[in-house]
This record gives sequence, C-alpha cells and structure tokens, in this order.
Amino acid sequence: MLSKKKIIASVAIMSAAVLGVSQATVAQAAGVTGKVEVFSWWTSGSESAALNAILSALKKSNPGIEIINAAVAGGAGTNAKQVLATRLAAGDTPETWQTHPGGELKGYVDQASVLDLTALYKSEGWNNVVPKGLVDSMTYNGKTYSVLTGIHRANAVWTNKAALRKAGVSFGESVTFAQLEAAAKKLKAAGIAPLCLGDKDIWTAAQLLEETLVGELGAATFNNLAAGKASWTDAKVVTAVNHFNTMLTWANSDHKALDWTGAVAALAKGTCAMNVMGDWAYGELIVKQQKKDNIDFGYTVIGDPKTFVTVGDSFVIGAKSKNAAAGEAFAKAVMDPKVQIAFNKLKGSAPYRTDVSTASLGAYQRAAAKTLATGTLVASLVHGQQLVAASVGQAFSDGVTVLQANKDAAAFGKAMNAATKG
Amino acid sequence: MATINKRRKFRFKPATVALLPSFILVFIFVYIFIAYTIRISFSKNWMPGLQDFSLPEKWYGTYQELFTNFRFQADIRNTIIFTILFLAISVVAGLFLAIAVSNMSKSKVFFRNLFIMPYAVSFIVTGVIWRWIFNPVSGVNLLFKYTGVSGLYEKAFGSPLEPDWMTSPTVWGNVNGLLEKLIPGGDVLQAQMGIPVALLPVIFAASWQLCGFAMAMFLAGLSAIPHELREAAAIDRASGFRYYRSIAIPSLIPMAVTCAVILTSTSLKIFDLIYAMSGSGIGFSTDMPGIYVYESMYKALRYPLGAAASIVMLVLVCVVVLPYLLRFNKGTEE
Repeated sequence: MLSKKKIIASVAIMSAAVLGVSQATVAQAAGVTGKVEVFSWWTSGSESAALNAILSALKKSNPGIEIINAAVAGGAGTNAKQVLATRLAAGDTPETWQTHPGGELKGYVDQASVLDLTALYKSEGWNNVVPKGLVDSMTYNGKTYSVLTGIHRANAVWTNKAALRKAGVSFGESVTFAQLEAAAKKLKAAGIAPLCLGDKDIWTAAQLLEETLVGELGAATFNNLAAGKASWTDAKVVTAVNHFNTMLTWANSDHKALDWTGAVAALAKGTCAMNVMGDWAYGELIVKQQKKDNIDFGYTVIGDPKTFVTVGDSFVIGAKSKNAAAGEAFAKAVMDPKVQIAFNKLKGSAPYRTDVSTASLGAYQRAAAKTLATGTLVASLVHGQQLVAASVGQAFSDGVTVLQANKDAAAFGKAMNAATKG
Repeated sequence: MATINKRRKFRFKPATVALLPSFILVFIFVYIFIAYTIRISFSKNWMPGLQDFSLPEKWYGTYQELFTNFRFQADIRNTIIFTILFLAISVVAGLFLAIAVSNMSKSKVFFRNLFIMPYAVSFIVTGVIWRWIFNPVSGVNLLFKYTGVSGLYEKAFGSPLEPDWMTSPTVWGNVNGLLEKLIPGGDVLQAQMGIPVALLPVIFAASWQLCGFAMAMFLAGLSAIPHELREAAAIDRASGFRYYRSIAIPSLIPMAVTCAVILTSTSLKIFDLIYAMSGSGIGFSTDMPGIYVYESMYKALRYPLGAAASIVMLVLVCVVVLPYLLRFNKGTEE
C-alpha cells in the first residue's frame, strides 16, 4: 500500500506536471515551444538511434521545445500499445505516438483519438512526394491521419549464394513457384534444406503465406481478399495456399523451435538456402552475421519483382493532447528530407520520399527505394498495415497455425471468408 | 450489561479499522474490475476511449463465438491436459524428492537447496533454456545419438530415436466422437480432443521448475510428524516402505491438497513459460487461454472476446480454489 509520504509526493509531482504543461502552451513566433511527448516502442540500439535523429532535428528547428521521449520497451510494440491504451482511456494523451498505418491506425481513428492531417499534407505538399499507395494506407474516409518514418519491404526471398551454387541453382530478379519447386528438388539432393524458417512465433509462417499469395495472385487480388471483396475459397487461392503447404515441407526440421533470427542465422550458415523475410533480415545478415551483400547472400521476389509489400511505421498526433502544435512540429520533422535519409540509414528501412537522393545508402536499400517509388505497393496484412480491422490479421495468423496441423486449404479459406466479412 | 452490549455494537473494532483500507482497495481493484470485465465481455465492441457498452445481437454472442472457436477449444483442452499431468508429475516427484532428502544425513541441506533452486528461476529463463534443450536438431536428441541410445532404439524398432518434441503436430487419443455424443448440439468440436504431443516437453519443463516447491512443502509436512510415531513404527518392526505407506504419506494429505491447489492455480494462469518456450505451437498444440486473452485484446483489438476468455479462466480457477477455501474456512471456524 502507498504510504502517506508517497501519496503527498505523487500529488506534488502531478500538480507540477499540470502547471508545467499549462505554462508551456503559449506558442512563440520562432518555432513551437512547450512540451512534446513522443510515445514509441523504439528503445533498442539502432531503433532508438534512428528516433534520436528525428528528435534532434525537431529540437534544432524548434529550440524552445521540450522533448519527452516516452519509449516503452518490449514485445514488438505490444507492451507500448497496452500502456497507451490505458493512458488514452484515462484521458492522458501524448502529443504524438507510434502506430502502424492500416488497421491499427483505423482503430485510433474509430476512437476519435487522433488528429486529421489532411490539411497539413496539402499545405506542405506531401501528397506530391509520398507514393500514393502509402498515403492511401494512412487515409480513411478521405482523411489522412499519420506521417511515415520509413518503409520496410516484407516480400524478399533471401538466398545463400554458396548453397545455391552447390546445388546448381540460380535465380533471377523474380521466381515462380515452379522454379522454386525445381530448385527445392536440387537443393534436397545436395543435402540442403531448401527453406529457412523460424516460426516459433507464427508471424514468420504467416508472412511466408502472405508473400506466396501476393506473388501468385497479384497485388490487386490480395488487397481484395484482405478487404473481403474476393473469396478465399476461390480455386486460385486454394492452389496458392497448397503451394505454401508444400513449401513448409522444405523447411529446416527445427523450424518450430527457432525464431526469425535463428532462421537468418541458418541461412547465413548455409544449412538451408532460402528465407522469405522482411528486409530487417538485411541488417541481421550484414551486421550480426557479417555477410556481404550480393556476394554471400542474394535476394529475389516471388512473382512480379515490381511488387513491394510495405511494412511502415508512422506517427499520429493525439486529438486530445495538450500541445497539438508541438505534435505538428514533430510531424514536420519526421517528413524533413534530411531526417528521412538519416533515420532510414540507422533503421535499415527505405526512405519513401521520392525527392530525396539515396546515393549514400547501401546497394540493397537503393534498389528497394527505387522499387518503392516506381513499383506496385501492397500493405502487409501480417504486419497490420492493411486498412482492415486488426482482427482480420489475427484470423490470418490463427488460420496459418491451424493450417500447419491439418493442411486444409479449403477450411482456411472458409475461416478467412468469415473473418473478412464479419 | 445491556448498555455495554449496545455500545459495543456501534464501536469499530481495531481489527476492522486496520483491515478497512485494504478491504476497500481489494473491493475496487479486484471485484469492481471483475464486474467491469464481465460487462465488457457482454458488449459488442468495447474499446478504451470508446466506452460503447451496447449488446451484440445475441447477448451471449461473444461467448458462443469463443466456445465454437478452434483455437479456444484447443486452449481448453491444453489447459486440462497440462494441469492434470503437471500436477501429477510435480506432486509425485516432489514427494519422492522429499522422502529422499529427509532420509539423507550429511548432504541434506545441499540437496534441499539444489532441488528448490529451479523454483527461484523465472519462467522466461526456464522457457528459453528448455526450448534449446528440446530443439530436435541441436538439443537432447544429440545426447541420444552420442550415448548410443538412438542406435539401440534403431536396432529394436527400425528407426533412430529422434522425437520431434514441441515441433510435433500429433494429437494422441482423439476422443471427439465420444465427446460429441455427450455434448448436446453434436458437431461443435473443431479441435482434436486428445493429448497434444508437443505439450509434453512444456509439461516436463514446468514440472522440473515446480517439483522443488512441492518437495519443500512435503519436507515441512514430514518434519511435523511426531518423532514418537516413527519410533513406535520401528518398535513394531514396520519396514521403511510400510512406515511411509501407512503413516507418513496419509499424514501428508492436507499438505498435498494445499500444494495441488497452488499448483493448479499456477497452471491455469500459465503464460510466460509457454510464450518463451513454444509459442502457440503447430495447430495451437501448446496454446493457452492466457495467450489467447493477450492476443485477442492487444493484437486483434477485440476487447470483448479477450474479456470473455479471461472470465472463463476466472471461472476455471474458482472451480479449483473455492471448494478449498470453503473447506479451509470451515476448518478454522471449528
């Protein structure tokens, strides 16, 4: 139980905080002043360094601003979301917080807890420099609600070049399922597991299915499926799901005991040859496994090489926060072209503004940024980026868990039809 | 006399005054919130910040969805299997260890501490370590291989001993046909009802961690048995086995009940061990209601569904704990 002293102390702290905020709401001509609380789940090495790149730019353009970095560690953001949910329910709204564009953002829009940024997009000309597919993933009922920091690509197939050579396999910039199947046969004959998988956490297997579906059915069909406008029991979908079932049989036998970093480690070692993973694996391969881009490992895409499955992080401004002007200043700092490069260099994702030079980035990132600017964009369902209820993504990963046991593509389709239409 | 009695009625006893603050706090933070959670579980689409308490089309709709859901059915199955086996192994192993340790003369303290040590380790640590041990490629299977156990097994049964452990999708002893005859409404079971093989390593890890706790309780019980009883048994020339069977173990039964209730409430709420060790498993073979609640609320953002599942968990815990508490209360009143 709280002692009397503790209660008095906490009351004092709370009233001091209230006074501080009310004093700070007076804006001045030279930049925004007052407190801005930035709520995120970026606490680890490269992530917090990337966040600091934004925060220092914000401080530079607004010297009078007081930044509170309220990052909550752990659980890929689930811990932070839990803390945020309680704070929003209590009316203690941060000026800005991190959220995924798509269903998660829609949840906050439905609760009317985030500001509409459409006017800001117009006045700053952001609509002209951000690919339309990305703006769409943050737009709901014609209103845009968040600003992106950077984009990861989910649909890359990473390959171990030495392992492929050993089996006499080579891939171009894209592959079909038939090519993968032929390669799998040769790899098995050479004693190498064709697929690297670490699906102790189910999202990695779900991502494999998602990229198979996007690759074989195309971007438009996948978007329709996610939105409940196409049937998941369609013959073509069932075939693609069965291809996924086949791919699972190619995986390393300990896949259920590894996480995604374990799968990347196995790829680097060469005990297995291909890993379908987002380009956060790129950082893992370069930094942790000390492998060289295009020498030790290569990359390809299932289906159309111009298709880019996006996983972005974005920030919203709290509608009921005390200092929305400071939130707006933060959004402008995020969109600053210089911040775009600095942030993404540290985070390993691709800058998405079409008007920034990517010359200072690595070879893979340059290629990814180019595809991002010119290719077909699909928001990832597995990573909650599709503009559908979060429960659809959950149904998808639950469906994959069941699929692993019973291999029943038709039953999976039925369950997904129910989830997307419900 | 009468006036004194009257006065006593209106005076707060010091004990009441001392307990009142904690009573109020418990009332608010436990019982009010349980009521709140029940209310959320009967709402259509409650969200924090959107306090919408309107009912779904069928007022029990969320619960209906819950119980017809493949995943939740598997969760209930896993909870029951996990609880029974975990309880049996921990209690039996704990009893065995307690008897062994109590008969030691020199190294008693050393072994007592050795067996209790796992209990001090966090479930997350246990989970990660046992995940590595039960890895079918790099874990305990290598031990089978290099000690020649796998080779002997191959000679006897034709294939090497390489269990899949947590990566196995097999469910032993499917009793769906039998259960569907018993449950009114017939064809409602989606998940296979049986013993998921992948759950066994997890049960083993949990028992490894908590059998030391059971041992400590039994050791306390054994030391409470009057010395005279043992001496009398020795005079009657009862063997060691006979002494334990007829005297020591029967007198440990209250201890065993307390131990079982504590362990059951641990197992019904288990989350961290599973989360770190195996995740949900193939076909939800190692999923638990706790993980389901967490994912429904914070991943799927379906608060009513998560609330309903957590109420089901609460009911399960009550089924185990309430009879014990009632008995305990009776005992103290007498």
